[in-house]
Amino acid sequence: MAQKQAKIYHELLVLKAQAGDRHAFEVLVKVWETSFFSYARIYTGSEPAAWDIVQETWLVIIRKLNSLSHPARFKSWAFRILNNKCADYFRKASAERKLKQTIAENRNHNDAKNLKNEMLQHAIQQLTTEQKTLVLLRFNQEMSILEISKTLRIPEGTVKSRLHRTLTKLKLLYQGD
Amino acid sequence: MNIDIESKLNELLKMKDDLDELKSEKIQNQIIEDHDKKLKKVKIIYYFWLVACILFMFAGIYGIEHNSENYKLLALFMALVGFNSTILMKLWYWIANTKLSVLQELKQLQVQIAKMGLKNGKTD
Repeated sequence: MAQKQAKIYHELLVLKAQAGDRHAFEVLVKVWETSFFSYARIYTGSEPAAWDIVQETWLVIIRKLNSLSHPARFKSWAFRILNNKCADYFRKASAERKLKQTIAENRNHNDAKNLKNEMLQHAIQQLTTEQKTLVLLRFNQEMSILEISKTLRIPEGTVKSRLHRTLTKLKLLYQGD
Repeated sequence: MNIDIESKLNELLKMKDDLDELKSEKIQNQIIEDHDKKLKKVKIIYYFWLVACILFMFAGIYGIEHNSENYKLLALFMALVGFNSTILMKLWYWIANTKLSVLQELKQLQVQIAKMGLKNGKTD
């Protein structure tokens, strides 16, 4: 029930922000900032890039918020934008250079963490952008299959099969490291 | 086959990042600033078109009084277009706001109901 209440409250915030309420928008930013940052950081493997992506995502949200017809769809809509921005980041620069930088940064970032986590992060970075998106939406944002299908606009069955294939690949990459 | 990797992913990816507070605040302020700029821009565009429509209407009215018979019909058309445009703009603004405020009231009501449910100890 508390979860449902929070969901309704978030929808209310979206409606108020659509009506031009500055305070509601401010709260909305605070509510989603950590999730957006966490997603972008794992996706790109770089903190500065994650901040840039979060900011760019909010710029698009500001511009298109009034076109969102139903506030309940805010989460999937916002994550679609965030995901596109993350994919753009990889497209812009040479993929190989980014991957090397990402892995190097991950190694530095995780010095204090255990080796297994580092290996798993390394394996995640080796996935394709589409596979990474699925893994992050499922395990970082804890979205259901239905929510992922709405966010990525693909059928639920496709989400399930792709996720299964991705996890199998991830397991192989992880064991191979 | 995937159970093991799933639990590892859950363990690794559910860890929420500790945000750099200074950086976070800076980004938040920039986002709010962008939001304010957008609202200001929308307001400016709205008032610009409102003034343009009013001027168009007055130009039409002026034309009715000062033009020859041939152009009076054209001037009347201009005045009507200007007048109707101002009405349509206000109507659109009113409809958009009413729709949002009705939805907001509904959400407030839903929040209240959810709160009452929580107080009564309902789990769903």
